[in-house]
Amino acid sequence: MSLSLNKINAVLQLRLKLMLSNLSLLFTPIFAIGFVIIMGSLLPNLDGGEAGAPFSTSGFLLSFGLIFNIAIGGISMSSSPIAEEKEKHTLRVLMTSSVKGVEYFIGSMIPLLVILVATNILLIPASGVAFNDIPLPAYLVITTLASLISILIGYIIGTYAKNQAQASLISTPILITLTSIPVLKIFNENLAEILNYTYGGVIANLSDALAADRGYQWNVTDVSVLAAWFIATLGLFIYIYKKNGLDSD
Amino acid sequence: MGKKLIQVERLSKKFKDQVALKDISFSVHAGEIFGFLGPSGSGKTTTIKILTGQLAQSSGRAFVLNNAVEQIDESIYEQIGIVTDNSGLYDRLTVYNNLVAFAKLLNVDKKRIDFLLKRVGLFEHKNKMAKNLSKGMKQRLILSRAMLHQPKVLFLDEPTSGLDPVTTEAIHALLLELKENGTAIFLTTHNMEEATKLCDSVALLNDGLIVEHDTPKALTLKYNQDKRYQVLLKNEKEVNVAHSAESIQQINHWLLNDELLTIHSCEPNLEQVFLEVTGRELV
Repeated sequence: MSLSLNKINAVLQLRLKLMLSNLSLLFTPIFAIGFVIIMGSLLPNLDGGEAGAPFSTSGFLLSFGLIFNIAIGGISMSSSPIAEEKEKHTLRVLMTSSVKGVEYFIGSMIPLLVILVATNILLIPASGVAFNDIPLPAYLVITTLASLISILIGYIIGTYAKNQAQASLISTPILITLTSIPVLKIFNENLAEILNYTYGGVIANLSDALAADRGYQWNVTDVSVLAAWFIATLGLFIYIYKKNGLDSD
Repeated sequence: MGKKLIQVERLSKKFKDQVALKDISFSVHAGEIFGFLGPSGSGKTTTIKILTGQLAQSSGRAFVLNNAVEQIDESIYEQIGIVTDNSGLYDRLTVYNNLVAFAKLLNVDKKRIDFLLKRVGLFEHKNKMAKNLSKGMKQRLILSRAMLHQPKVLFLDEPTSGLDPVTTEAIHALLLELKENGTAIFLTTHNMEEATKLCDSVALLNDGLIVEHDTPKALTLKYNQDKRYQVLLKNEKEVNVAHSAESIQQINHWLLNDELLTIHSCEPNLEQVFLEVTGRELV
């Protein structure tokens, strides 16, 4: 299958214009940074490395900010526009104007991914973790892959849902579960073990390790979990796309 | 007659137990406006969806630009334009940006956007958000978008439904211009006046079945069974006479005595033809 760069670029520019015309879509990444800064000023400054400290404040904030941005931002920013386009029948117009589904998804994904990755980087200083303490390549690979997984989950929801209301209804329990991961990991050890096998759990592990000055080491479990989630969400997305199409009305 | 650009052979479509199309066949040539006429629910939109690759037929064959409809891909979409009830606009983009997005997709020079906007009377509104346009303006914008890439085939599903007469007239003028330039236009409508005015040939569709197919003129003549004439005399008296030796003598008499002001033959219009063929009205 040959892809047209011109069409991907046209979709990308269209999506950028639509994003700029609806800034509420950018609310989640901005809110993630703002929330982390405000929480940082309110919470006591605990150091996870010290005896008696249940967790590290900066690690908790980074973990929370990343989950907030990647899960809520990634899923809602990708599911809502597809559902809106289906609802307003513009997706059908695009598809009958010579755009391939893959070109549409790639063109739509690029601006989202750039915003998510930029926010993931800005969350480091916002949460109070020192840049020097971060193994940047590992951080970028893990958070970018997790962002991609979230975008794919959003695409699955957007492709399955018939309209925006249905998309947000389906998203809500998923978002609540994903955003609860950092807190659940702290307060329940058994659950923490299970959550290690979610992509949100991998992000929480990464930020905890960074904040506790333990450094982060690549490990088979985290890499396998992310790879498995990526393959599973991509496979599920392809299945739902083939079954429903982009505009099944 | 131009090249055959749409060909439909014994096309049928079933939705579970309901038969939407029954063995329909027709063809549309370059530079022809083909009217597909029928009441709501007769299968017009289903036919457009099948011909544009959005719905699979149950049986039969259909070709658009010599390509089987099952194989319609991006290269065909680059050569056709589609206007349906469900053709959405990007509400939060301006009129101009709505067209720019598609001009980029279809590799169309932006100069054509201004040309088209002037042609449909939207140039002064180019910076207006699409959501703030009236229904008629939206329809003209959708039509401009479908014509942006100068398609070889244009599918129009009730393009003037609910529009004011001025907008309807502007759209008709555009369609006739496209036809002159060789575009094959597939037009569905239940407006028989529109069909008579625009179409080179029409097919009357009833419950998924083509019940008549010919030029509007030929159809009205075919169903002109009782051949009557409407006569207006100079004394303002209106007379409706049947075609007979007696009435021809009477008309001759009026003519010779300079009593006759106007005389018209009373062929049925397409609406009456449809009623006669199907026993139902076009609603």
